[in-house]
Amino acid sequence: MKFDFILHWLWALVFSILALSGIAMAGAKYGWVMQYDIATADIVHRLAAVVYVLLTVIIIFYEIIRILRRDKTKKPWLVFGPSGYGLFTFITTLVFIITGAVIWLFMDSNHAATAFTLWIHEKLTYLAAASVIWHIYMKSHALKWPKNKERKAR
Amino acid sequence: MFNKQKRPFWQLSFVFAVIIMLVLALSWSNRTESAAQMDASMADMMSNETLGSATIPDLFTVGTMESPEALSGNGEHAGHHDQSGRLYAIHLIATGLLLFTLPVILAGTLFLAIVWPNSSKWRKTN
Repeated sequence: MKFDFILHWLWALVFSILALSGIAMAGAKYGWVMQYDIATADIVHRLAAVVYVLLTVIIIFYEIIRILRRDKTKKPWLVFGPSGYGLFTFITTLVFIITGAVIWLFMDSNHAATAFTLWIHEKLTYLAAASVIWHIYMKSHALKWPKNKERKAR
Repeated sequence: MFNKQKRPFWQLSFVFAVIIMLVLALSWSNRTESAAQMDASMADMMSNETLGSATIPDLFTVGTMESPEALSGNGEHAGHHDQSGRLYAIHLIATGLLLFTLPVILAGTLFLAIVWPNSSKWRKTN
């Protein structure tokens, strides 16, 4: 199994956990997503955020190593890229991480910064969730199991 | 009616629709909390409460603004962080990891922003 494929689906899993736990905390309207258990949603969101940040570091390093080695092989499953949806994901990820870090670190000491970054963090979540649906639609041909493709090829 | 290539998307949509219906059904059958009274999201409420009176320097000044809890006289929330136990240890480790990785991510981003335009050119020549 290819490394970029594993990273892609790990990313998808962690992003889904972050989106669900984050939306559950966004307000009472969406609390039903996690049965109004905001405390659990908070812990799950923070732990998933750590994995998300570590995955981001790994993908950035992987891409840097590929560039330094002048690797020309195509990695269709790689999460970040210099154009298209890869670039969009990269930019949104950076905004999520920076705003998330401000919320995490300054929640008790700077309420103005927390309110501002929380607003960006939340609105970006809706944009990212909508973009993921669009991304799944555009790439839905890749959702077929490899076995089916092999059978058809035969 | 539908594009055959997009069939997996609609199958996936159906699976998610079923999951959402199940969660909603579970939620409605267990309505012990009337939490749906507040329609505004947490970010909207917080920005309405705090950002209305905040200035741009407030965004960069640590510890000068009074919290809404303290202003409303509900000061007991100030000491709600339990500074012992496994959860606090996890919090410390996670915060440390975040502080360590953030500069690495920013440096990597800067590097990619410089290198990506050139790499796109030589990758296309393959």
